[in-house]
Amino acid sequence: MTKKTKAVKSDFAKAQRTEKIMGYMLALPAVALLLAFTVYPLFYMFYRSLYDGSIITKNPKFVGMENYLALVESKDFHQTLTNTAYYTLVTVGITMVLAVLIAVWLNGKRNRKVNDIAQTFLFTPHIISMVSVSTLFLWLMDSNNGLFNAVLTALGFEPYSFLASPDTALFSVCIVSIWKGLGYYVLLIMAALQNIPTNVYEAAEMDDTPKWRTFFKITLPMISPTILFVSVVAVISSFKVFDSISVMTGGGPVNATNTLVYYIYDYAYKYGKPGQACAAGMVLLLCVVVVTYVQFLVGKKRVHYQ
Amino acid sequence: MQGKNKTLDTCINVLDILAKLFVILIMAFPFFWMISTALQTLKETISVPLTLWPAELQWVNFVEVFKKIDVLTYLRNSIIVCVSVVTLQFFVIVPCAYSLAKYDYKAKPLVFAMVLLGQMIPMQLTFLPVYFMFSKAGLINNYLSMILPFISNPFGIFMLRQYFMQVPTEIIEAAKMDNASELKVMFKIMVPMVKSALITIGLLSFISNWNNYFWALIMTNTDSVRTLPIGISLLKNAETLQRWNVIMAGNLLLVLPMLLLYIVASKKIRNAFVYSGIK
Repeated sequence: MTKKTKAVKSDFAKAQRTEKIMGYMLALPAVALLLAFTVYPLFYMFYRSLYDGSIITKNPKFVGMENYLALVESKDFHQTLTNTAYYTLVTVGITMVLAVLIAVWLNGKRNRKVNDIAQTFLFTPHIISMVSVSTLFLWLMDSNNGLFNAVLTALGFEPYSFLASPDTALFSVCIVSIWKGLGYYVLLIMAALQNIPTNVYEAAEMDDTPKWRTFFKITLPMISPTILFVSVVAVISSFKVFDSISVMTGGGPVNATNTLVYYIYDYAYKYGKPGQACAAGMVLLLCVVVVTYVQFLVGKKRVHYQ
Repeated sequence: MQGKNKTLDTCINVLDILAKLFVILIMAFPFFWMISTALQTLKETISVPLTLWPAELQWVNFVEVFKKIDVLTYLRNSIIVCVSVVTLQFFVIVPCAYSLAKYDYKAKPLVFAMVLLGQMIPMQLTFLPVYFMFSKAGLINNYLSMILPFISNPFGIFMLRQYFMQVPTEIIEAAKMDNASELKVMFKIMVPMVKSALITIGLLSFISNWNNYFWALIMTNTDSVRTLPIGISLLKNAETLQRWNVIMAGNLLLVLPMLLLYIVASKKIRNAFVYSGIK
């Protein structure tokens, strides 16, 4: 080997080494923050769920699975889980059905100009703070002077109790989420509809296939991977529900709208039981992991179809 | 036959427009109601039948809001937090995304996995441990506790990595031939190429931070550092008389900046959300 090639080689190795170091250096700040605010908290939450004591206790006592057992036995926690499941099913179910129908409708050829305006309005609440939307609906659903009951009585219906009664409060919270989130899902599904190649429809048009058949046999199967995918997104965002509960009901009346995140918040700050709150947090983590795994499987399929 | 079809078609067209107008009404009317209530007298808000539009615009309701809560402090805090997060994050996510897209090192899959984990784990899950951490560090009621957790924006890293990967490596090599430093290559050559992605990330992060109620609620308990969403929820609680006109006036202060932003950049914002939703 001549001197020259040796020098080039060592230069190359040196460049490779600096490249490696540079790669690490550039990623370091983000990695440090992600470690501090995502990875470490997950481990700490599990660790803390095994201990007793309040937030200010210096040396919490190790209690093993006791916090988890307390959750299993707690009627409040059962109600919280049922409420979260109900909220998720109702919100995601209604939102998805409406979103698909509206997206297909607004994607049609009729009155294109109005379509765009409708879409703009549908999406507006999504960028407004949930605090504002909740406060607004608190006023609209007010039992004495609220607009909703005024309209209902004017149309000859009985006034609805909305947030005042345990039987209707949770559904009323669902209505708010549906109104706020609908436009977002319409937007995502419309994007999927616009990606369907037009030649798929040409054959159906030639055969004079009825519209409902085209919808069920072509449109729906083509966008079903997207529907599944965004449904999972919607499910996870339902698990996170907190703002509307906090502003509108505070978990009440009589626990009727207490959901998982609100329960964790309450147990940590109001009741001073962070151990039990962390145990409930682990339950939420489990839910998120399971749903994300489903999303992963769906995502794989989606890539496959495309 | 042809004529009959045509009238039928016009009928469907009219029904179609009416139905769409109905959808628009459902979405727009609550906003209209908020504005109208904010400008009514207390008497008008509780009168039967309800007042559709005030006889005289009551701008004084906004004065009442300023009397009831310290709007300017909340507003200042909101702006400090939003602007800090939106600007500071670029110095963290741009290098990380660049490193993931254009460098090769052993731990790269691990770094990427962490970014994906960050995208998957919601703040509503990690807030308690993070609260403990800040509490131990004495950073509760400090802007840092509201800014730091949002700087390493995982979605931003993910999106930028995607964009950086599309930039041909030859461009970087050519710049290095001219003895440009790594940082210069990154900020002077790469960043201008992914401008549209940066705008998307900035917009989304500004909107979500402006609207963020949960995190500010957890990390603060004094007015001097609290943000506007907390202020509005406090206004609602402080209004024991339920003066909905005053509450709606306060609510408008929180909503208006977002509405204006949406009016100015409606298409851009929607595209940003489509990108972040489908990835």
